[in-house]
Amino acid sequence: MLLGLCRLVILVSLLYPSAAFATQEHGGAEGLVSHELAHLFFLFATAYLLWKTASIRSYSPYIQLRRSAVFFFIWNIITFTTHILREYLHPAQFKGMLFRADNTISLLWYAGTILEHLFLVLACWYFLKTLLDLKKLFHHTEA
Amino acid sequence: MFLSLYPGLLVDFIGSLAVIVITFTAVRTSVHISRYAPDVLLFRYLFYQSIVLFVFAAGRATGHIIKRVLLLADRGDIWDMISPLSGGLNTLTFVAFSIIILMYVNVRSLSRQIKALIAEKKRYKSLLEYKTRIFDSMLFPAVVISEEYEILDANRPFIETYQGKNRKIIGRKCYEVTHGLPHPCASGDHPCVVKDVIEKGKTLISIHRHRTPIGDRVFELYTSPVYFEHIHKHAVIEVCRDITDEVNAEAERERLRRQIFQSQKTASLKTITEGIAHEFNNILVGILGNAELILQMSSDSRLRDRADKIIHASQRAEELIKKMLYCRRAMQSPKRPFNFRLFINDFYKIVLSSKPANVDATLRLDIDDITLTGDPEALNEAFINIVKNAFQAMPEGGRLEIDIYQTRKSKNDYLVIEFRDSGEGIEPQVLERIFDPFFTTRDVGSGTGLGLFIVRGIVESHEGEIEVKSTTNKGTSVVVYLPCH
Repeated sequence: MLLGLCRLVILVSLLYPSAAFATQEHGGAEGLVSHELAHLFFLFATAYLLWKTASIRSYSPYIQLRRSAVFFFIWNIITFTTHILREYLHPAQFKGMLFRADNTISLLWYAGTILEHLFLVLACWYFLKTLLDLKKLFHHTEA
Repeated sequence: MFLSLYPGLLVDFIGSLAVIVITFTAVRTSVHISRYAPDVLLFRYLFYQSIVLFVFAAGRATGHIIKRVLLLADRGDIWDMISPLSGGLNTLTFVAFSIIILMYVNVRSLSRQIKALIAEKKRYKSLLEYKTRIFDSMLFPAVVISEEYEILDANRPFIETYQGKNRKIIGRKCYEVTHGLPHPCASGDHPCVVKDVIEKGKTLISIHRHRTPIGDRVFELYTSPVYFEHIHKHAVIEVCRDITDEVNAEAERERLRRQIFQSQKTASLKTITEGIAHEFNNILVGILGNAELILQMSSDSRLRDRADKIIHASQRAEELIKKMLYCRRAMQSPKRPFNFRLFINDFYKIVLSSKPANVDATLRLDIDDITLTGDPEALNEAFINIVKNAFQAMPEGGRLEIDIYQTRKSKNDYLVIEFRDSGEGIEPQVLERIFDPFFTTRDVGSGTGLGLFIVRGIVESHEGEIEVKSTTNKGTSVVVYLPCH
């Protein structure tokens, strides 16, 4: 089912690539500010986690958790910035599947939309690694 | 400078797909970990975080699909309406994720907690190993049974003794495993002691016949009470000592003892009988000779009549003595090789011609041509005696089956001749004495009580054995074993 869903997303998007912005937009009724505040909160939480676990050096699951927090932290910064940069872009810069990057802001936004996913995947991956390490640790003691 | 938006689009899809798969796996893994230690707060937080991450990933992908479908249908207005919901969910998941982080980061000494938990698990594992090794190294099968007759644990000897092919033992009912019963044992010779032991709180010893993959075995069971405090459950631990060999050895000893006793008794009786018969025969010669002289010399009719009666009685006594001495003659008769198959066919013809009309007789021969060494006339006499007894045991009619086959007994090959009748059977107290000379259950004058005595003598003179099994009102089985030399 999951695979089917993903196939559908890919098919629909490749066939109809109109207004394809990789980073989620948060305008309108929701408001950019509330979303950006959530990002800041997330940023703070991950920073706090890193600070609290700074003394842990050799404990494998915590190391993975710290790595996950680092990548979540970077992802938050990139996404936070990308959302702000999006506000400075003009609709005329988008022509079908082409984007006119004529200044630094445009280039940064373009890079941000691609990079944020990379860091999100890495953050989620290390979060999963934390759980897998814990599972392995318990499985080892059970066996 | 124009840049393609496709790379962003591609990264978006691949990234979304990867995040969905990763977070879904994280949810499953966190569920798995929570099972190990459901009380540890950190694991619960990690589980919630996994859920939130999955909702974030799935929500984002769903939002993208809806967006693209609506834009394709030229309904951007609907997307404008619902996009705040999608974005709102996105925002909510960030907040939830952050709150959870802040919650578990503040739980002090989490790593110490996990380490302690692991250490406890290791200690538990080592204790479990220690207990299992002791339990498994026991010489006898042992099993822990709950109050509801469920097998909670069993050591290796128990599993090896009772587990057949592909049969599981733990979790099954004890009466199913050890007795093959659908209900707890309740009969008089198999009283179930589980409830008694729990109630009385002391060890009880009982003897049970258990069903094992190698056949029925007799076990001496030592059942002791156990109380599991942490789950408030009563149970018993049962140690099963296989005493089948001891029981069989005891039965064999008893059988031999009785056999020796019987042989000694028979030998004594034989000596006495033969001695009396010989002496009595000498006396009879005198009585008979003198009675015949009186008959010849006297003309007194009354005296002649008396002498005639003396001669008649003496002749009857002579017949009896002949029978008494027949056993010795049969035992001492010369042995010669003969074809047993031909012999038994001739014997069966006699059986068929002499059987009462209301008796069915069958012969089953499960042997090849066998040459036996013996006295066929004496054996014929013995078998006819057995068959006569069988016919007399079925006055209302019945069935006589004669089975002949070979068997191996005490490392020797034997030819078995089994006579089974469906007659009235023999009482156990009578059965013990049927081979005694002059023992008869018939009316005085209608039987000498020497028939089976002679049969036994003949069989033993052939180095054979004779066994009689009988059930009252069901029938009797006489089994003759003759060695195949």
